[in-house]
Amino acid sequence: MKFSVLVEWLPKIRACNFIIKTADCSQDSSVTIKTSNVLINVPAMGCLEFRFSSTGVTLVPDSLSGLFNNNNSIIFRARIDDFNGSIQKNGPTQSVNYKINEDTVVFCAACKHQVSKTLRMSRALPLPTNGEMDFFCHQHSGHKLSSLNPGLTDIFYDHLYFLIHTDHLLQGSDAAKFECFNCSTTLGKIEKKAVKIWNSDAFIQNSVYDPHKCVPRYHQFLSGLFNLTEDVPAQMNKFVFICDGDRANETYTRMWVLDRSLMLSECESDSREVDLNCKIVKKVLYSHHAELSSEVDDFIKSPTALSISLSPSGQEILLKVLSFMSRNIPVEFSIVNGMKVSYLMFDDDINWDDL
Amino acid sequence: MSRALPLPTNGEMDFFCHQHSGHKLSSLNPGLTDIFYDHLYFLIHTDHLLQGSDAAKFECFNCSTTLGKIEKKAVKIWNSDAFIQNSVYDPHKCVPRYHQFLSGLFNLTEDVPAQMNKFVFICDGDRANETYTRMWVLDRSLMLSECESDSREVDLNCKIVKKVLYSHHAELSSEVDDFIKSPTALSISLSPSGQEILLKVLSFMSRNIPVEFSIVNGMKVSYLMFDDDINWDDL
Repeated sequence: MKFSVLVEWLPKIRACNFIIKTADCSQDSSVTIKTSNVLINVPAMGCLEFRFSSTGVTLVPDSLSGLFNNNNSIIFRARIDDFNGSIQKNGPTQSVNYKINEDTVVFCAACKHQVSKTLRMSRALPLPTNGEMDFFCHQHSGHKLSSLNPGLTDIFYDHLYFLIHTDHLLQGSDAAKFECFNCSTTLGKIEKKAVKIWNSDAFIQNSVYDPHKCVPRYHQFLSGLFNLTEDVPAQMNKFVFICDGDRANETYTRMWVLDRSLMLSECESDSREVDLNCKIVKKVLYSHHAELSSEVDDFIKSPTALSISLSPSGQEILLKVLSFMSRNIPVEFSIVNGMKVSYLMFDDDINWDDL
Repeated sequence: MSRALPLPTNGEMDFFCHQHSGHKLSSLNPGLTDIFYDHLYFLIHTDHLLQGSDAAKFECFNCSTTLGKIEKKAVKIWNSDAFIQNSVYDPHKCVPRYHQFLSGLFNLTEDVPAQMNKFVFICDGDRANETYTRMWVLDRSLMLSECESDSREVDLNCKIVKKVLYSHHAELSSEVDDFIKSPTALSISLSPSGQEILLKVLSFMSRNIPVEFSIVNGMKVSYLMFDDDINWDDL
């Protein structure tokens, strides 16, 4: 009895791939996923136990999927429930913490008016990364994932938006847009029974609005965007942000991440002596397009590009920040490949709302 | 030596965001007291060689192993074929060849910008005999647990590896040419022994992937790992 085991831990997508190779496998083998161990019952070998407490990972019990079993190998995927220790720094960067089993409410970020009924969610789950990135090393044409619809006690979230069931909205709507009924700001989109709400336009808080607990819109959007560019695989370095208006009015922002972890010192001063500190930023090229030009189309079709929907206010924040961060680059060096040079930075100390 | 300086990254990567055609950096020649180094080799002045040579190859005059290349007054010496130590050889201080080459390779793939995820390793023989290894880094920081056992109970630890696809080509095929021309690819010279180590390690690291899942896009799935605990010399 000799076997090998390979486990790819993928904390960013909360999954792990088990690959067990042995000459003694059979198609009658069974797999049991437990919190801190996996049991594999191979008729010719008995029960094998794989423990992984030293990795700091816990799995969702019975979360077996994608089981492949032939005479010399068993392959399956399981869901990661939680992780810490050395694996933590490779985990996803969670942009917003959604509290489950607590009364919360969605507020409009513009007028701070309540726009949902009281929510009490039992599940807060991350959505798969935009497109099919969780499943393939780069984008494939011809594949389309069906949408994921939240139940009545579910909140599904991405870096830039979250999904809840339309029954939670204060006012029923047959329209495709979800608007604040107080100030008419567009907060998201309605698709069948799911409402997609932008982090840049609305926020979730305890039932009574508390301005001291309110995360500024810029903060919420930029941390989400920063984390999004952090979490996608290394080869995905081009982004097309599509402003989510009507199809006829769509606008596009191309962004090409040149360096994901540049150390940058930046300072504006009128003193003769300057102490420089440095921060980690992403060096990017960007360009904005009022229509679907050939440059945008080339980006969209690139296998290393991700297309991402933005709300009008999200796009406004993105362009404002990129323009602000490029202000100190001399004009002679500010354009590369027809795109402007800038830096994407997320910094708690900067008051982006003052821009 | 009075100066030990890192060489610019292969190609023009230190100056541009991706490769540009029509640009060629002139070579950097070390002075008599300079050592210039890259992840996989170092350069010194040819006057330091024990025996003068008019040949393009730098060979060990004892065992005739090719240790590097000579270009004008600079000799390029592969880390996988030679090492630098105090004047008196001390086997206890000697870093194993595999260790030196793999740590260099791992660091090289770590240091290039995120978008440079394709590598073409060109084995540095005569032009007519060049061989090529394509490597495509899919994940630069995958957490991997790996174990071979005959016990029923296994405790898994995990390490950071790079998940890669690779393929070896005896000649300049269209696939290799496509890789070389890709703006997100780096072409890197390897010595024959460097190529041997690379292929051995990638083959070794792919041994536990079932054959049904071992080929993607015509390339083999493997992992690039650098681990002090593994005795690569036993491969």
